[in-house]
Amino acid sequence: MNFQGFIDSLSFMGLGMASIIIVIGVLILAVLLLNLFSSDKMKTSRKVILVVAFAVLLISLSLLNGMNMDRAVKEYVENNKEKIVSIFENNVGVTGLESEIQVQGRGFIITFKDDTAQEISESEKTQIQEMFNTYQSYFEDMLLDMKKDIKELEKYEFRVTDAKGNIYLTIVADGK
Amino acid sequence: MFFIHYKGETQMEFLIESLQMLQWQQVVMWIIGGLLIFLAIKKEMEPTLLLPMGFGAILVNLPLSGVITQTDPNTGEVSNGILDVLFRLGIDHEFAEMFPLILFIGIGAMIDFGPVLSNPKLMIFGAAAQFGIFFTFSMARLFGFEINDAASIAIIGAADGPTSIVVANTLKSNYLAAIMVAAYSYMALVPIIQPPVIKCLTTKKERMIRMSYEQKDVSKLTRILFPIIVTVVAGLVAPSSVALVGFLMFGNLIRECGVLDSLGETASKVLANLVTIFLGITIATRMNGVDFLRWDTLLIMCLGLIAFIFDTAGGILFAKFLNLFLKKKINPMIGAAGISAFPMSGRVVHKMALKEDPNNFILMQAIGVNVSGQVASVIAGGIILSFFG
Repeated sequence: MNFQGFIDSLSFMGLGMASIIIVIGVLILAVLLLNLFSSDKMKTSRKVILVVAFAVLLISLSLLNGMNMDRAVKEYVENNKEKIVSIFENNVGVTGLESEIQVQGRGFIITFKDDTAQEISESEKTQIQEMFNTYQSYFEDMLLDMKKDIKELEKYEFRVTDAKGNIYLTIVADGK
Repeated sequence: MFFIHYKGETQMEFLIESLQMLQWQQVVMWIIGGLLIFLAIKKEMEPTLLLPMGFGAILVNLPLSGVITQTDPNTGEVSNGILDVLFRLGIDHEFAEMFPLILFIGIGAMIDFGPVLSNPKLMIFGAAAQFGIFFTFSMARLFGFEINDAASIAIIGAADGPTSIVVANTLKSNYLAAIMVAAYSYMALVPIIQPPVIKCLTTKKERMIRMSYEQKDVSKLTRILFPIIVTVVAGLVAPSSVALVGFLMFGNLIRECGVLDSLGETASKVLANLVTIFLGITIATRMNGVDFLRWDTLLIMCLGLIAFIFDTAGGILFAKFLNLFLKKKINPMIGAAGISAFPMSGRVVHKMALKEDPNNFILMQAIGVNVSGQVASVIAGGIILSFFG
């Protein structure tokens, strides 16, 4: 007998029943509105108002949701800067480099400054970029790992600059 | 001459090779298979599924059964048998549980949501009657099942075979076969399970409550928009249920749109029958005697029964609770019809009402609640997947 498991599961019982009653409640409301909408008793002008109000509600909800997701990513990045930097240090081998993180929408840009890199020619940049491009799936896996902490995270951009701040390597991981 | 000369040796061992490998569990499974066939034919209990499952149980429990693995007699190379291939293609999570989901299109094309649409408030009983699922989850945890197995066992309470398959498979439960057998057996046993529970929880006076029914026309627009709205709402709230709800509602949209009569008929008859044939016999792949005959299986059967009992109780008690506040009382028995076993549950409730009072007709309300149960059970499956998937 697993009494602890039983006690832990009781919250799911409440949560599950509450969830299903809410979903069915929304469906009941939707059907009531639908019946009203499709009946002859309702004037056409009111039907139009109903549709517009519903569309506005949905758009507002989606915008609000989008803002919440942006905020969640911003909060996560700002509160976990050291953790994110260490993920890159451990996985990409950029330990000891000066770093900077900027939040951008539902993602972030992490830039490492390589002070040892002075003059990098265009051909060298291309060579480095091509080499790192072959590890794209590795960077995508890192994104997936980070999404375990913050599911709203959609992408990140990993940059490395030379001593003067010129970018010579850019990797974008966006799950595509 | 009965001897076969092979590689210079005289051998007839192959004739008894299978017999020598026969295990007692396999013999028991033949008996169980025979019982399922008997129940399907003689008692007409869910024959569309119990018969193929029963035959399949015999088929997979033959020693060295070629339906699971095929062995090349020359090279000894082992390849997949037909049932194994069908399982991988049709039920395995790898291919998105194709059979049960396609079956949902057929089921959707069969369902008339009219009674619910004309009285949408009845849908709340469909939700209340899913209580057995969540109660059974806790009970399964108490008996020591892992979370994924407990959730899969609990979904037997959805009284909906395809939902049970999808949930158990997605959660990678080790007890798929037992869950299937329990789900389909208890669905067939609804006329036996529900009446005593209803009688225990209601008084004769309550069972005699009459409910007026006004026939309301449901517009075509409502019928068309309903499956779309359900899909969107369920999808937004419980994304994991989209495949289940979406396919069910797609089937219903085909039925209600009015321009795809031929497709609707094909989906509800040919497609549903075709998938059911394969589904039943393919489920049997997991009815291997050695794996199936365990105490756990017996426990799962008991938990399945608990799920059905508490589904019924949940619906009834919720109706009784509502009656505390309603001027115009409702017959609490209709709450019991909120399980997905359609139309058995609705009929059981109607018959019980008639038994108490031959002039008490609550069939339309009971069927309305029963149809709601079909939607609610699928959503419950999605919620379980959202929690534990």
